[in-house]
This record gives sequence, structure tokens and C-alpha cells, in this order.
Amino acid sequence: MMPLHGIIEGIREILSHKFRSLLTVSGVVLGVASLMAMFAMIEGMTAAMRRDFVRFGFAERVTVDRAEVPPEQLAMKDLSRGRTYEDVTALRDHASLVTVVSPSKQLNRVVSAIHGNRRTQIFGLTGVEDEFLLMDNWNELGRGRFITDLDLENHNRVIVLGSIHAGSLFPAGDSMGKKVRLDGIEFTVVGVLKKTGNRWLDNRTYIPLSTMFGTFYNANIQAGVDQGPDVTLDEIQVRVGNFDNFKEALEQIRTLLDATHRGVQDYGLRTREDWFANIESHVMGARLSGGMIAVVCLLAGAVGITNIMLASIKERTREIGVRRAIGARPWDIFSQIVIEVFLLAVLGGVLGVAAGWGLVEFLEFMAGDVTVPIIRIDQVLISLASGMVVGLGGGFIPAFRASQLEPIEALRYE
Amino acid sequence: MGTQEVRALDGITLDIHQGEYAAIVGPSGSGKSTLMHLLGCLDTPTSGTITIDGVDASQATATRLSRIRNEKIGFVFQTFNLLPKLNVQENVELPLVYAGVGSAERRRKAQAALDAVGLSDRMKHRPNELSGGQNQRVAIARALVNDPKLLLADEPTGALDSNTGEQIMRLFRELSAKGNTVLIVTHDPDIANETNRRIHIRDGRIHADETGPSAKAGA
Repeated sequence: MMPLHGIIEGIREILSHKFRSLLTVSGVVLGVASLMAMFAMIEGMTAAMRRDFVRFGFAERVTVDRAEVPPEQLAMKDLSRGRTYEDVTALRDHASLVTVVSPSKQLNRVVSAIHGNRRTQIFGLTGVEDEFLLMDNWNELGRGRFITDLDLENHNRVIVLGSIHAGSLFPAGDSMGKKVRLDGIEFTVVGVLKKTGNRWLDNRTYIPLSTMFGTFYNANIQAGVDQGPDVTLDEIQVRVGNFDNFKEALEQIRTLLDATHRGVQDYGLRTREDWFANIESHVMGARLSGGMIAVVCLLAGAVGITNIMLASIKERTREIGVRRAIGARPWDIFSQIVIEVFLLAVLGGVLGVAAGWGLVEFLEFMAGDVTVPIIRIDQVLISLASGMVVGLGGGFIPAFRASQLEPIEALRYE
Repeated sequence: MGTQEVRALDGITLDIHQGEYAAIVGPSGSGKSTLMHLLGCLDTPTSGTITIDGVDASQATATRLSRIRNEKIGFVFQTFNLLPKLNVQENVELPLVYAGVGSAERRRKAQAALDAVGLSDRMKHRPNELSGGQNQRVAIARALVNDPKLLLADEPTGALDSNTGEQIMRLFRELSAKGNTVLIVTHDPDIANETNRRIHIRDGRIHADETGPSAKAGA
């Protein structure tokens, strides 16, 4: 049989059972769509992480993290007070390869900010120093000024608002110099951060670190007993002056912190390599789980095609018998079914790409601006191709069975 | 299943000559269907030889048998066995498709075959739009389209009323008169008597083989 003839017959067969054809390929449609959506999401995730990585200057950055004390040091754990301002001073005074040290302390509860009859809930109020602005490239001032060393020295009650809180407290935009009450304590607005479009970033609110400690952490009540002021820091970010000296800088930081922590390994240094590894492991994990789901969908699709094609061939037994009697070779029957299944798989693949595209649009709409999924044409083609391969695989058994029918038996079939 | 051997056919020696108009007659279970399957190259014998137009078909592979059927045999079935999704022309062209004939040539030959059965004005109709007799004519056209060495008809009038059946038998006689070799398989002596040679099968053996117009036919 000639291929063109087979294609025409296949299209006819598919069109003569439109609904059944759609059912046959539904698994392939879902598989291709989910594969495509998965690709696009991971692509978007990776791109977003890479972008942040460059934008936030992670390359020269080291973050001093809290770490679990190793078991052999548990007995001496209390020798260290954790990450405190002492670390910051030590690094500033003695770490020659370090240019910026930026400590921060976050308030881990919601405070209500009130101005006049307007009110907003601030979560993640953060105490920082003036150097914070040098550290974090995403904080750009829209108006006013940031926290200064004078603020820190005098424990000034000043506040720098993110654009969202500024907008809700001062809809007219006249925030500069106005008073805001945080839990009843009066702060003066000195600056507003530039809008970034990212909800999380635009919700940030800063006060001087010294004010944070003096106002919100002057008592540390645990089990009804005041443990004295809480002096631990949440985060110490360090910027290395020259990336070529990165290893030596890390060595310096470690030496100094070992001294301030009295040898207790209750801190860790997170570096660019860790960030990279983190990104890679996220991407791998997402790929693996997404890939598994897509593979399962595609396998289900193949089984669906096999199943319905087997039924369809059973139904067409007599027709196959007639074709064999008038001269169709087993190969002709085989290729006819394979062509038909291939056309179904193409149909499924194309519908799958359309559905996947729709799914991606939907996800994009849902994701806002955090991780915008990205469709890459090569990944679309891979999705389409895997749908077709799976579809063809599903058609192989029915096609083989059909080709092996004995003409006499097939002609007798009612 | 038992292990006892059942011989559907045994010790058959039969020559059908080119241009003959013959019938294989026998009651059901006589083995005539098995004989027809063997002659039609739908099956191969356990032992013995079948030669068609000088080609040995006894031990051929499925693919080879398909080729022989395609080139040398035209089948006419009791229930027509046209493909309902194809129109008349496409049904008639189908053997040529499997023979690898180009579309213009296919059209020409299908037209000629349909002319021969008097249905060339129904080319675009579907089988379900035609009567039983017309369907059987289309089936005969399909069987003729490859210029087969042997036209093999299995109870060709079995699904038709007697009038239409007679018309079909007349068509076979015409085709035979034009030089086609026609072999009709039937259980009906009246049908068999229309042919020039009657091969009677009983219990898997040739019971009688009479040549010449039947006495009962009154010809």
C-alpha cells in the first residue's frame, strides 16, 4: 500500500469516529501538555533565580548563617552566644579583605502601623544599618533617605517604608516627615523605597538596627522569666572586596568568627557555590518530579491508545479479513494501523501543545511576576516528539496483532 | 482439544483449466469451504501441492500468498464484503492499491470493471446506498479489476432473492463466455447446474466430477 493512500485512509478512519479519536489521544494530550507546562515552569524558575543571582550580587556575597552545633560540641554550645554584634565589630575591624558587613534583625511578629485613621499590618519589620543599602542591590530609595549612622548612634525612631505600606498609609504620597505609630511607638518616616513590582520586596520596612534592639528586643521573656536583652542577629551579610581573594576572605572570616564564637561551630558561611548548588538542586528536583508526572501521563496515554486501538481492530476484524483476501500483505495491514495511530499521535501532540500553551498562560497569570514560565521552542518540539513516540509505541501492539490475523478467521468474524 | 486428526480434505486431485466455468458442490461440512480456501490461497495444505498459473502456492509465506491472491485470484463472497466506508469506485480500486498501481490507472481499470458489471454510473455511491444485487455486482467488479486467473465465488447468490440471484448467475456466464475462469462454490445443486462442470465433494473427497451442461438444466 502506498503511504499517501494510508494517510488518506487513516484521516478518514479518524474522522469517522471523531469523539472516539479524541478519547484515544486524550492521554497523549495531557502528557504533552503537562510536559510542556513543566518545561516552561522550570525554565521560568531557573531564569528567575539566575536573574536574581546576578542582580543581587550574590557572587561576592557571603552570608553568615546559623548552623546546628555538631554533636561533639554540644557540651560547649553555651560558650557561644550565637551571631551577635560582636561578630560584626570583629569583621569590620579585622577582616581586611571584607568591604561591607551588614547585620540585620527582623521582628518575627506582625505589628500594626497607624497614621491618623489609616492602618496597615507590617510583617518582617527589619532593623538594619546604613551599610545595608550597599549590600542589597534591590533596595533603591524612591524618596527621602535611608537609615544613617547618626540614626544608629542616637537610636532614632525613624522608618523607611516599602512602597506598599507607604501607599496604604499615605495615599496622597505626602509621607515624608510624618509620624507612624508602630505598636503605639512613634516613628518618623524618612524614606520610601522604590516600587519593584515584587510584592515581597515592596512590603519590606526598615528601622535602625539599634532602635530595633532598644525598642523591640529589650526583653527576652522565656517561660515567664526575662533572660535580658536579646542580642542575637538574624543575618550577617558580608561582601568581599575582590572576588579573586574570595577563598582567603572566607578564611579570614572563619578565623575571626571562630574567635568570637569561642570555637563553637554554630555558624556557617553561605557562598555563591552554595547558591549555585541550591539553584541546581531546585531545578533538578523540579525537573525530576515534573518529568515523572509527565512520563506517567504519557504512559497512561500509550496504554489508552493501545486499549482503544485493540478494540477498534477487533471491530474491524472482518474488514481486515477482506483486505487480506484481496491482496493486502500483513505489512500493508501493519503499516495502515501504524499510520493511523501516528496520525492520532500527531493530533494528540498538536492538541497537547495547544493545551500546554493554554496551561502556561494560566500559570503565568497565576504566578504574577515571581516566576514567569518561559516557553522554549525546542522544549515544545521535545514535548510534541515524545507525545508522538509514545503514541506510536502504543499503536505497535494493535498493529502487529491486526497484521497477524488469519484471513479465513477474520472473514468468518461476525 | 483431542489429539485425533481430522482431515477436512483427503486425497483430492483436481485440475481447473483456463476458461472453465465450474462449480464445487457439496453439503455443509463436506469440506468444500476448505477446498475453496486452498484454491483461493487463503490457506496452505498440510501436505500436497497447489499450483496456480504455474506458481506453487503450497508452502508460500503469508506475504507471498497475499501477492498470489492479489495478482491471480478474484474473490466474490456470499455477503459481498464491501468496505462500507469506501464508495463503489474505491472498493473496486482497493486490490489495485495493494498491487501498487497509480491512481489514474486505478481509476481507468475500476471504470472498465464497473462497465463490465453494468454499474459505471454508481461510482460515487456508498455500498449502503445500493441494493444487494448491485452490491454483489460491485464485489464482482472488484474481483475482476486485477484481471485474475481465477474468479472464485463463494455462495454468490446466497444472500440474494432468486430473481437477483439469477441475474448474478447470468453475469457469471457472460464473464465466462468472455474467457474468464469462474469457479462457484455452492451447496445448491440448481446453482451448480448452471455451470459447465460440477465437482461434487462429500466427506472431504471428490465424489463425482461431471462435465457438460447439466441434464436437469435442460440446456
